[in-house]
Amino acid sequence: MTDTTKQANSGGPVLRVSGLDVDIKLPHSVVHAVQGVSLEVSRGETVGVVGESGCGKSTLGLALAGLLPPEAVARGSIQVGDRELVGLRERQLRAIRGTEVGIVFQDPMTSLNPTKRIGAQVGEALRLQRGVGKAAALEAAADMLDRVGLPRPREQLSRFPHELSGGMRQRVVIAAALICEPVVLVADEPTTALDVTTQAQILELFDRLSDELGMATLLVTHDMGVVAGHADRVFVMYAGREAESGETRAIFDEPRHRYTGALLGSVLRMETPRRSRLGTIPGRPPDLTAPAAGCPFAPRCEAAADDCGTALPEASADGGHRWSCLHPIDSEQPKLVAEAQDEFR
Amino acid sequence: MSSGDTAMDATAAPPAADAADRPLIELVNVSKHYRGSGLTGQAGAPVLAVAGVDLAVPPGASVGIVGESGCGKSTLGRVVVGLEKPTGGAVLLRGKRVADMGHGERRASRREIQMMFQDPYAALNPRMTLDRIIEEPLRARGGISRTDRRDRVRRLADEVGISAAQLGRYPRELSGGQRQRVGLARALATNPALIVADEPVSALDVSVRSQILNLMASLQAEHNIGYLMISHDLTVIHYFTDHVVVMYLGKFVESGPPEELFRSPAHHYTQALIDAAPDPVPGRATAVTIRGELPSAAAPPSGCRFRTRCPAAQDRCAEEEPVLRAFGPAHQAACHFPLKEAVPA
Repeated sequence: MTDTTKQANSGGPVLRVSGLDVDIKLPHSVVHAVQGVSLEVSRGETVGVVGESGCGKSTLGLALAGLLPPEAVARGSIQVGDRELVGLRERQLRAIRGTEVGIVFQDPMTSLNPTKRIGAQVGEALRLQRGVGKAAALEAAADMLDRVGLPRPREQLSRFPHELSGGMRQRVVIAAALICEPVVLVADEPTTALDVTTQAQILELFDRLSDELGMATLLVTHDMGVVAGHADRVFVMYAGREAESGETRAIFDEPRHRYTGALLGSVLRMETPRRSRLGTIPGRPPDLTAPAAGCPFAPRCEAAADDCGTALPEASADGGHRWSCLHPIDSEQPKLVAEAQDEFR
Repeated sequence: MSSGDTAMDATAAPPAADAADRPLIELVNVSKHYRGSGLTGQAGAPVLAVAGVDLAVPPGASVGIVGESGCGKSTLGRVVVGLEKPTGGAVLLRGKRVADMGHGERRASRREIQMMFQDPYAALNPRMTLDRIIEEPLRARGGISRTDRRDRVRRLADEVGISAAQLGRYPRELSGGQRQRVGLARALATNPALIVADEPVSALDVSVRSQILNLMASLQAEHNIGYLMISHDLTVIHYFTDHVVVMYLGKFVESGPPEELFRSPAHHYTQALIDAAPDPVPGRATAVTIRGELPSAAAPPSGCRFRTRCPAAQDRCAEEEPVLRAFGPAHQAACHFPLKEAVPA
């Protein structure tokens, strides 16, 4: 495969987001969907972005993929390798999508053209962006389909998406996203529509390709179980902002932000005692058209005090673990998440 | 499960028992075929969505059905609720064959079994206000005065956590969790004895998911409602149900109490589902025990239907279909080479 991708700063972060704001203009208001987000992802690293619906995680993914709608305005910086994405025109973004940033969405049918053969779709970015000839692109497509675990890849080249199952279609989408060996892969709920058995196969595929191709992966998901097993670091978002981030183990074992704690407390696990009263988070995420002055989680937080309502909490850090909470969970307190028991495995 | 009466050892009732002691609903050797359509290229070949299953749900019990998409679990739910007629076998309600019931009796029996859907938005009429939606089954039933209906709607709404002020709203104005609450209130309107819940929390955020599960549990305690919960999510099934059935290509391959079934399964398919299920414990990656996807139900493999994906399959599995054998109290599995010893017959 022709790899003309710039091996930018191998070792250091290849995706650098800093102070990113995304505003979405509605007829009578503005949704502040992403506010002041900064994060870095290195080669071969997977960062899981989690939070409830409406917390801004998908908008963040779209911004990194250069797919924001026309009514959205981004400020701040998104660097992929040494390219700045913020401020680029659609034509320039199109050249980056699929070559430097690969994208995988939840529903493979929305990413695939139902009227085009699979070989042509998988090889498309090579032909359009790299000027590779038709025969060579098909050859590369067959290689990539083989790599993502599609059985009999050569036979699949001439088939149409509807002839494949959901899991196989998602493999095709992944092959198309990775054919130019992008530096960054944005995967937004890539396995949510799939069966658990298929999901496990796709997640295993991501793990393997991340090692082999060394891309930086941003895995956007609502599923804490997926993140626990397949992300190196976790980025918890609330109300368009970073609530907490750190190594996966630290986030799960010693969450500091009250939102992370509440989120983990409401997740069902095999160890959850049957029919015990489950933890919930009262209320709903806030309206992002008019962000309140204080901590956005305060109205739903059981530990909220008067000072939480006055100003945004500054970020505190302990090594690579960062949280923005005035009254964080004390790591000396009994853990919200019980120790793992391995009896179910 | 060779006969309906032994479908669930722990709960099966003797044939002569009083109607009150009978299982609320009983399926005896139930099958559901669909004629293969020309579109799928299998004209004439019948698709056996459900292939001869026995199941009993006692009053007030929660039975779970797990399996991949296409295993027949949703079809089975639709047969139980009366939306589909079985093509073979019998459905008994409180010991009486539904097929033998007269029109009026069947209508009355329908009210006893209600359905809760994955996407409440698709299930709620978008042009009706919430009070009309909840009231509708009461109007359909007839014989209740307007004032009494209004009263009942308010009580139902209160019970599921919908405020009186919200009753004038439309479904689109609600969050997913609130819509699921309305769906539950509507299902409760006719005082059902059983609610068939098809993926009731799959589309919800974790924080809301636990609210709905808590609500379903408290309604069960209050009204002695039984649930037939269909889900691909093992943690939900483990947490919520008293008895679990694992389905594969239209057949029951294993059934038993959730603790035992998930801690020490006998069937390789159950083990594969457990391995693939994401569990929010850091570092515990989902594991791929079985490859590929469900074979076509129009042409199931000979012998054991699971053998084409089973890590332990041998020659015998292709020749002879395994029958359900006992592995413990109320624990059965159909496997020639199980993961643990069967109880001697």
